[in-house]
Amino acid sequence: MPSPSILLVDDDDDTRTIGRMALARIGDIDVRCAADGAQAIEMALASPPDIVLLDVMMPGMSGPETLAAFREHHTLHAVPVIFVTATVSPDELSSYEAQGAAGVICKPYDVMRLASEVVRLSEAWHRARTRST
Amino acid sequence: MTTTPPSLSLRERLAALPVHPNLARDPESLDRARLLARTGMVLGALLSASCLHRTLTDPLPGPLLAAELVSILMFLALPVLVRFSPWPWVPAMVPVSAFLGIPALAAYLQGGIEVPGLAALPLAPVVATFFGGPFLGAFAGAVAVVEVGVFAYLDHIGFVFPGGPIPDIANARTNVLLLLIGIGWGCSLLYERQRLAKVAALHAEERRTAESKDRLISTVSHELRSPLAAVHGALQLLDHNVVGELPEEAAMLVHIALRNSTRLASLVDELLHFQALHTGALAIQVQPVRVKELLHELHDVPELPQPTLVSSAGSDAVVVLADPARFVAVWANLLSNARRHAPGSEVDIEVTDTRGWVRVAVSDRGPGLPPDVAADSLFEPFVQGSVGLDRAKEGAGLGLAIVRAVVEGCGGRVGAHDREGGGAVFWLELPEVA
Repeated sequence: MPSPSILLVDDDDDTRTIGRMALARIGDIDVRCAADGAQAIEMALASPPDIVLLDVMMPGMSGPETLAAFREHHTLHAVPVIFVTATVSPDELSSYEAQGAAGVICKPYDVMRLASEVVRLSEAWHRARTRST
Repeated sequence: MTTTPPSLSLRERLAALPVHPNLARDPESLDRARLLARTGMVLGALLSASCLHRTLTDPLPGPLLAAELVSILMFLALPVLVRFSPWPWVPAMVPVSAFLGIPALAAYLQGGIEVPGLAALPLAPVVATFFGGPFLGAFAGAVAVVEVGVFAYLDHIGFVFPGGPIPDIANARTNVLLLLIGIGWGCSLLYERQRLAKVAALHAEERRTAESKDRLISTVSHELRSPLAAVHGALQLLDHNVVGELPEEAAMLVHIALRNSTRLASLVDELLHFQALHTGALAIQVQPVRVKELLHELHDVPELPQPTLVSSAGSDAVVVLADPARFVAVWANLLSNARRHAPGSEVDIEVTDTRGWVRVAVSDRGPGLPPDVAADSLFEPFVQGSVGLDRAKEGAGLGLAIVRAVVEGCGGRVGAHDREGGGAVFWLELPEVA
């Protein structure tokens, strides 16, 4: 399988830089970055990514709101969205999965394993979708 | 299919009624309010008997009889009023209105009224003392003596009241005493309810303070994690030579920075973990589990030397109540506590089964418990062995507090003592499943 393309959405410049380097250099993944939910939707509509890595807490459109907007577009509804959050509450974590997230990665994460974890979560999500349809 | 409703006694039905939140917060006050309400019912019954007797022999004027009946009904409803009323003066008004207003009016109109009659006379000072306190009891006694004297004098000079002849002295005294009881009783209820409101306000204030502290910890920890993730990620990329090989000294410095950012991350995690346990955000779900399986979670504890396991006569096969998912944190904290305070020492875990409890003791061969801190307080949050500025032992001082929160959440208990022959023992006990 060719390496996937990822859309990384985070309002924090530094976090985006680290995430992009970790994914591109270690996972050899094609990474594009967006600074907020609206920009993410615009970029994704122009060229749908294979995976979206989405920060939960963002000014303007939050992560869950961006996910809901993704699910409304027929070209984007099948793109796995993985949340990145600094929250550790189990209730909140399970609520993200209930909203249709492919997985949740908690900050601070291990950058050396970020790429493999993202790919693993996205493959598991596709497998679960294939089974349920 | 129909189900037969369980038959409840009147007492059980009353006990099942909802309670006003102020009362619900303070069981002692609820008991006292119930006692007051029950005696109110008894006095209400006495009043109604006397009212019935009077109505049969010497009927009261219509409006007065209606007022008397309302008063009796209020007495009988007192247990409900005490429980429901959001205003303390409502139940307090019942005895005041019944004893002060209506008999006084009746006494004026009729020239004396047989409120529960002579039978209540010997009880009156006792009841006054009981509800109004010794001061009111003594006051009631003094007033009664003065009152008897005044009536005797008025009778002696042949004074006639505008509403009729001088009431019978015994009855008049009963009325005055009952008035005082009523006032004392009302004050007592009022005082109880006001005290209760104060207790409730105090609880609310404490809760608000605790909530704001929890929110502060949660927000600070949460806000720390995002920048920490960036620092940690950048250092990891440098440390793994992702952007090219670093000169030797630079690599060493990056390694130091990475090690410390890892430590900072684990401190923040510890803080968030403790806060989640403390506020109930991280629920503990107990289930019957073999001690052996609980100890399996030890293998999930990373980067710590595995302890030697000692089990006395199959104790680890015993089933206890615990939440296995939360026990990874228990073992991790007990082992890292041993590693920090007794570096390089052997650590063993001993399982023993004693009278319904299974004890798991983690012992090391280090310097033992700190002499300046009580063993119990080591499990308090933010308490560390050496109180003061010596921060050589890393950690936020929450590890053992997390251990206690999990173990107590499972219905167990924790403790620590010095080990014979040197070292410290930190133990936990879990309830055995019969």
